[in-house]
Order: sequence, then structure tokens, then C-alpha cells
Amino acid sequence: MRLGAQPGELLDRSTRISFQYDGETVEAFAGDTIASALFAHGRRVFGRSFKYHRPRGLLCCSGHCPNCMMVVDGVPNVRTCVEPVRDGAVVKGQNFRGSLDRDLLQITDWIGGPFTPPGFYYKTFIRPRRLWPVYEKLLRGLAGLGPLPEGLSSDPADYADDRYDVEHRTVETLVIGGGRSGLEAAIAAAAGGGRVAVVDEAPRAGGSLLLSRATMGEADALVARARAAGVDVLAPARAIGLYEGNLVPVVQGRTMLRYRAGAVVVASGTMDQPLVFPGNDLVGVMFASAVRRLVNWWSLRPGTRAVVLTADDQGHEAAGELAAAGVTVARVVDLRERPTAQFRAKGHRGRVYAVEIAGEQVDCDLVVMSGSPQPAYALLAQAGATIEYDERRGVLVPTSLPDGVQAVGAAAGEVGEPAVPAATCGSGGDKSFVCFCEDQGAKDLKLAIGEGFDSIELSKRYTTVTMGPCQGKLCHLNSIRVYAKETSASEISVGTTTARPPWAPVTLGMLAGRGHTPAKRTSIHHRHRAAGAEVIWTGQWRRPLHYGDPAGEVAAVHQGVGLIDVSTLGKILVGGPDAVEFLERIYPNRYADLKVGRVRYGVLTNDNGRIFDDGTVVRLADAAFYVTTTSTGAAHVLHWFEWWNEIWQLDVEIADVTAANAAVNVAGPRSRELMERLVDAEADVSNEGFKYLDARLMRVAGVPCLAIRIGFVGELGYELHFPSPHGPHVWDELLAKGADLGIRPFGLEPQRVLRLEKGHVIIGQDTDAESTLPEASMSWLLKYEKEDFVGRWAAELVQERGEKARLVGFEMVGDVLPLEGAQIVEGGRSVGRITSVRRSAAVGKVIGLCWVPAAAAREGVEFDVKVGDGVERGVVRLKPFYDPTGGRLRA
Amino acid sequence: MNILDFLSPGRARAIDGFHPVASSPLEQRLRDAGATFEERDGWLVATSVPHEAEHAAACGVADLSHLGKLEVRGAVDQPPGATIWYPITPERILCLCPPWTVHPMIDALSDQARLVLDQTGQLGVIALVGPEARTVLRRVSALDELPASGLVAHVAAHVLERQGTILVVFGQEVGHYLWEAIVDAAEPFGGGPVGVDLLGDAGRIE
Repeated sequence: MRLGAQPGELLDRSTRISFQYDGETVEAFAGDTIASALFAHGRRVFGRSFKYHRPRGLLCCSGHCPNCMMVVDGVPNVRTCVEPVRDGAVVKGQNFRGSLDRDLLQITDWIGGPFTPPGFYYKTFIRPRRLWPVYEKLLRGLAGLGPLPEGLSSDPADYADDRYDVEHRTVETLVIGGGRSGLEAAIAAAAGGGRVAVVDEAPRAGGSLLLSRATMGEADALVARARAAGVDVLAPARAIGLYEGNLVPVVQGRTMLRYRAGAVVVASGTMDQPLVFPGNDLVGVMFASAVRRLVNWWSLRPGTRAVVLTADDQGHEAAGELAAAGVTVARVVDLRERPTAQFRAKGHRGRVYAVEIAGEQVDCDLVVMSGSPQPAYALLAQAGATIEYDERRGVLVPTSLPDGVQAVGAAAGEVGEPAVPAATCGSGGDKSFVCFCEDQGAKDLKLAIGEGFDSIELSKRYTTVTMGPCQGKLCHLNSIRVYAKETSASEISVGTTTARPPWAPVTLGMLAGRGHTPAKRTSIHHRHRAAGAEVIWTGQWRRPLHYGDPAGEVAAVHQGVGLIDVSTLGKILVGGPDAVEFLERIYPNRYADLKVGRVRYGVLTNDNGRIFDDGTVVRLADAAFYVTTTSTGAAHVLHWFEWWNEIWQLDVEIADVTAANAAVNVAGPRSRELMERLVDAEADVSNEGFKYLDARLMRVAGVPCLAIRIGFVGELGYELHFPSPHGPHVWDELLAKGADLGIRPFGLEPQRVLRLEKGHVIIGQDTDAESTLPEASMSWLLKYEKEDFVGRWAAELVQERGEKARLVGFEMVGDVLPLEGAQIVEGGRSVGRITSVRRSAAVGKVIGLCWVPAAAAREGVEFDVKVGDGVERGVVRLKPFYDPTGGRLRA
Repeated sequence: MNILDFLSPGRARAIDGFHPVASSPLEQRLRDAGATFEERDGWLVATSVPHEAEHAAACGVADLSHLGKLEVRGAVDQPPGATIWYPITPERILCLCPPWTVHPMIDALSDQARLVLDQTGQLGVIALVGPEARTVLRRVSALDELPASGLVAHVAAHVLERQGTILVVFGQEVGHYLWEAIVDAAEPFGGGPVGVDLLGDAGRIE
């Protein structure tokens, strides 16, 4: 079946490749596709159709039809006619029970017709209703195309090497289609300067020039000229969409090239169209271009005796090439000469053996069909081009184009003067297929019209014509013709369906690209890892939850000294002549009276008075402040500051220094001892020289630090802010010098316990989008004597209408630990919720924060908490559970 | 100390028995790659990496986070010694300079600028060199005309070019991630980590 070496063939006969097909070794040449190699090996049935399980053979040989889809190396639905052979590949058929040649499910073709009209799952399989579960299981088992790979893992790490990449490219001109028109357009564009690229989905550029040995040389010369002109010619590389802004995703191997082009030239040529006649899907019925590829590219003889049915010159060209390849051409029917010709193909076991032409039977094992060549307009339509039916030539053509998009050559409608085939070119006998993907015949479309689906868009959804793997490439035009005929309307009035990307099927992996999960890490991160920390996500940050012993870490802070990495805090510099005025306006509390070298707690609310972030403000100088925010709120606060200052136009510089500084909190009764060992001689860390809520610049372990005496965790503490690159150094020195003081690093979990003992709030956990300062027990922050501040109006409104709920501390009467989020109930109704709760060893109780009705926000009031199916008692506590006077903080 | 010295790694001093050495946000990744480190200008710098010549033949990925970086605000002319002067906007400039020139530069610019901020600790720098450097950049970013600011592997960055070397400047907190993403993009071409010494003049910001 393989011919001798032919001029222009794509084969490298010096390189042999072998692969497995159903356990059998198949020999091939480099340059073969899997399908061409299998064809040379004698295989004729390549697939089974979707619904009727009819045997299907090669039809298009261009990667458009569904007929040759197989499982290659575990990947289903690979179009083997365009998949290059590779050594050791394992290829299997799909969509059958038994074998490709003998499929038990073909019974649906023989007896299933009456049971499987369009929408059959709404009709045939609904009675008796009690059997629906059986039907459903049966139908689901039969549905779908191709099997998923066996033994799929749910762990993404198992697919780390199974990579798809995305590459962004920018060009002045992108030409889609590397035929004569496309290459000439690219050469012209390159002459004008700028980057130009041509992408073509075929194995090599040249388009229809490559179909004939006579013009292959011209194709190669054009490609060479284009490359010499600086054009980047890519093939195979398939454009799958044309989006706004001339964004064109192009699939090349396992890489998605995302082109941004100043201009896009669509030179995508034409799509072969099938003729609709009985038996038009039999094995041995092929497009003229497919036959030409088999002969001229892979040196294969597609049959021994052929009948050619054609609406244009291509059928004649194929007939000539077949004859040259030793195939007997029994008959050529040119629809331009015989526009009303009727024919039907006859088959045995799914393979064609004859064609009946106007009642005369012509024996053959190959039927070459060439319907009118339809311009491949889909990408143009996606871009917004107007597509209209040309009645004279029977094709859909672009009639207007969006800015920045051009069409050239056949894609623009230059397809000569083909015959306009009838909607159906025969009757009786076998099925006449309009849609090869979904097994929809002309009769099915008629039925749909009879049921009222008389719009092409409705019909598309009901019959699924154009919704299969070919995405309408082979069926759209014929379905319009059938609709026009059956509704006695013109093709123009039937219209077209909406063209949507992708132009060709694309894997989900290709769409997803390379997996990226941005993560933020502090400069001390790997010290935590080395210390055995359990690391969790908090927003985009990776942070230590604990170091294996949360209770021990809590105890270290209470009894000795603990160390926590708080580099994740947002940090913003606010400076300039109006810095004080800016802070006075944006915070509800005062900063004009904050002395240089002092720090103050601040809460930010939005215009509606809702709390959205908190932190501290250090006055570095008269007109310079250092603001900290929550870890996850840093970007929001920065934008909030910048946004308000755009309105206020104050003379203020706002600068994000979040990542510039690492920060650690040294906390515990022995933290001062530790600090004394690390600070320079000039620094005074005594309680007199460095009081609670003081901020001092000093060197710690030789590194310049802003040290702030604050205590989120309720013990004497120093929050040290210093350049990030010195994070590991300072961390190491603190641990080394504090070893004899019992120093331990502690994570977020111990921190949550410690802050809860003090009743300190975590914004976003203990507050939500409705929380106001008065109701969060923070009225003390509202300084109404100021002229104005963001959220003032809302705070006054709350004062006026009265508080509805309050955030308070609580302890459980028993030792039960409710869930965070547990409901506080009254008479079976939810009246509040627990936002934070932990068991505190230091307090000896289960303690937490919760929202209760305002009337219940009094010391000692008891309430019910839903725990499991029952309720447990909790008691409101308004003072900190640990060190209520703050003596330890101020020590 | 100046009130903003606590932002400047260059203000650390070896005193009282302490020897502060600044670490790049990419240090651990380079250690994982088997890099050799040297202390230079107060920084631990990855000077060489196994197989770096092979990597550089495609796309070498180097850590230049030790470079000095300043954010300058105001209508300011480029001073001598500012090796890379990238106006993000007309009055907001990113300046890259040798680490030892950061503070003289701050002093020189302070008179003209509204604000000069030492961003050396805030920002990391990854350099891409070699014939596939541009392709690797395109695998992680849609940025085309350089210099430019935008997303690189989904995180904000500035992308600059100097003598054929591409410099990606980013918030140091995403350094580990970005290094992984860029090295991963370079691997299919045979690219990978290289030390700063391999960059020669092209990678040296002096």
C-alpha cells in the first residue's frame, strides 16, 4: 500500500520509528503521522461514531474531523491524522465494546434508530419512570468520547513534569495561515518593518500549494522568501481564537503562544465540505484533500478503484494524482456539469464497495468527495466580522471586517466558482450524515424542524449539530442548506450560528498553562522550616502555625521569653508637612498629640464606619510616621491612604515599606534581659528609659532597628523592625543570646491564645463587614472633638440609633471548647456568635470573644452556646482574662 | 542614627561581637542549587553555581538582590553613579546602584528630591542572561517593551534591560516563588541558576 519514494513526500525513509497499536508493533518512517502509519500497516477503521458506533475511516487527514481520534499514550481523543509518530508510543482505539473492527454497540445503528432521534434522552428513556436510574446508568456509561487515563492521581505534584507552557509574544503583524496568500501578505508586511509571524496548523507552511507535487516547490520558495524577510514562520502551530485587542492564542506543541498583534491577517484558506448522500460516512469515503495528502505527503495508495464526486476542480486534481499513484478512477462526477446528480454509497461491514449514480452501480473501494470549498471564516467571525451566504457560489463569506483584521485569499472568499451542491444529493439506502461528530443525519434535522426547532441556533442546541469535536467545520454549511430546504427559506435568512473559540479542541492543561501559586515568605522563613515549624497559608503569606508544641510556646512567653516573626505586618511611611493632618483625618483617634518616639494603636474604618484594619502608628519625627497594618490588609490600607490623599491633596508622601523591613516580637518577662545583651551601648532598654508605648531607634546585634514597646501577647515585649536582609542574622542572634533565658520561637497558634488572654481583637476574625467601633467595644478610639475623620458620620449614627450587638469577652462555665463560629442562642434562636475561643492554661479556663446582643454585654451575664446538639453556658467578661491591670506589659 | 536608617541594610555595623551579613531573599534557593557564597559589601552573594556555564548557554538565572535600590520622588536628574535610572512615572524613579554607593547617593539626591527611600531590602533582583533570556521572560510575563512594570509570573515587578541582561525587580517577599517560576521556565531550554561572577560586566552594576 506504501508507494515507492515520491518527490516531495514528508517521509524520512532513513529513519524508522515503531510504536504499539493494540499490542502490535507498527513500523513507520519519520514524517509519518500515527494515522498514515496505521493506514500503511493496513488499518482502515480508525474510529467508531459517537451515537451509532458506525465504523469510521480517514476522512480529512487535516485534524478537523472526529474519525481518527484514538488514545495515544493514555491521552484520549488524539487526532492521529496530525499526530506525528514517536518511538514507543502506545496507541489504542476508543469508543467501542469489543474492538474497533467489531463493536458490539453498533447494534444502535442497526436497531436503535427509532429509539435515538434528536433529544432521545428526553423522549425514549422516560417511561416507565421507575427504570430511569437504569437508563441513566446505561446512558452515562455510553456517553462521552474516549476513556480517562487509568490510575489518575488527585495530587497535582504527580503531574509536575506533564507541563504545558504559555509564552507571550508581541508582533506588529500576525498572519494566520501559511498558504500562498498568507506568506505573500507576511512578506509584504515585513517589508514595512516590524515583527511579523505566520502560523499554520499543517505540519509545514505552504497551505494548498503543498497538496500538489507540482506546487510544492513554490511553497518552499515562498517560505524561504518569508524567512529571509525576517518573518517568523511557525508550523505546525494552530491559532485557536481571535479575541479583542488582536489577542491570538496559538497552540504549538505543548506551548500556548499568546500573540498580541497590531494587525491580524487571516489567511486560513478553506475547509473541505462533505456532500450529503446515503452512506457518505462509510469507510473509504474521503475528502479530495485527504486523498491528496495520503498520496503526496505520505506516499500511500488510498484505494484501488475510486469514484470522484466533486463540486470544484480539486476533485479532478485528486483524480489525476490517484491515477498517477496507480488507482483506477472509475468515474468522476462534476456537480458543475450535473448539478442534480443523485448518488448513494453502498457498504458492507461499514466499508464502501460501490456507488450508485443515477441508478447505475459503480464498484469502488474509494469515494473521493469534494463539496464546495467553504472559506475558513471562523476566526474572522470570532473577531466580529460579518459573515453572509453567497447564493451564487453556495458558501459563507466575510463581508465586513473589524479594525485591525484583514482577510486574504480563500478565507476572504476567493474560492472560484464551485457548484452549489443540493442539501441532499441522494435518498434511500443508508443514513445521510450532516454531522459526522454527533451522528446527525438529514432526517434528524427534519425531525427537529418538525418539532418546532426551526431556528438554526435552537436546532444547534437540540440536535447538537456543530457542537461536536469538529465544531461545525464539516457540518455548519450543510445544516444551513438542509434547514433552508426544509423550511423553504433561503440560506441567507436561515443565517449562521455564533462562532466561538476555540477554533479547534484544546486540552484543559493547555488552557491552564504552567501552574503558578504566588506565595509570600518572610526573610526568616527558612529558619522556621529548619526549626520544624508547621507552615500554613495566611492570605498569600506562608507562616509558622507553631513549632510542634503550641502549649509550650505559650508557656515560654509567660515565663521566659518568646520570639515570633511578624515581618508580614504591613508597614507604611507617612511623611511630609501635612502628615499629621492626614492621619487625623483618616483615623478616628488623635495623632496630633502623639509625641515623637511614641506609638499609638489605630483602627481604620471605611466611610460607613465599618472596621477594616488595625495596627500601630509610631511618630518618628514631627512630620514622619511609621504605620503598621494587619498582615493581610497591607495592600488595602496602602490603597486606602493613596485614594484619600488623591481627594484631599495634602502635602504627604506615602510609601510602602512592608517588605523592606523584617519584624520580630520579643516577648516575655525576660525579654528585657535579652535585649540588653543585643543592643549597642548607647541604647537604654530600662523601663525608665524605654517605657511602654515608646519607640526607639537602636542597633540590635549590629543592625539598625526601630524598637517599639507594645504587647499584643500580653507580656513585656519589644517589636523590632529592621532591614529584611538581616532577618536571619537578627533571628539567629536573638535565639543564641536567649538560649539560657529559655527563649523559644512561637507561631500563630500560641499567639492566638496569648492575645485572647488579653482580649485583643483580630480584625477580620472577631469583626466582620458590619462591625463598628462602638459595637466592637472601641468607642474610646472615637475622638469627636476632631473636626472630621473618615467614618465619623456612621459612628454618630450608631450612637444615635443605639448599639445592636457588642463584641465582648467570655468564659465557658464548664470545660467545653465550642467551635469558632458557634451560635449564641436564646429561646432556640441565634442571637450572637463566638468569633475566637481557646483553652488557656494560664487562665485555667476556656475563654474567647463573642458577639452578644447589646443588652447582654454586661459583666457576668450568662448565655447559651450551641455545642453539638446541645447548649453549654458561657459568661460575659468585660476585662482581660490575664493581667487585667496591664502590670506585666508595663513592667 | 537617621530616622530612616532602620530601612537600610547598609547601615548595619559589625560591632560588639556581632557580624551582621545581609541575606538575599533567594539565598535558600541558591543553597538548594549548590551555590558557593562569598561575603561582599556586607552581603552573602552567590558567586557560582554548579553547571552554570551550561545554564548560561541557554538562560542563566542569577541573584542580584544585593544591588542598591532607591526610590526617588520628585523631578530629579540622573546623578553620576546611578547605573540604572528607571522613571516609573516622571516623578517616581527606581534607581539601581552598587551597594556601597547607596548612602552617598541618598545624600546627593536629598536636596532635589521630595523623598529618597532606600528600597534595598524591599526589593529583590533576578537577572536573566543568555540567548533564551527573552524567551524565558515571555514564558512568565506579557511585558514586551522594556523597561516596563507589570506582572511577572502573576506578581508585580519591574523589568529592566542592561547590556543584554534582563533584570526583574520585585518585592523580596515573593522572591522564593518568583525564582522557582523563572528557573522552571528556563529549564526546558537547558537554563538554570548561575552565580554573579559568571555574569561578568553584563551583570555587574557598577
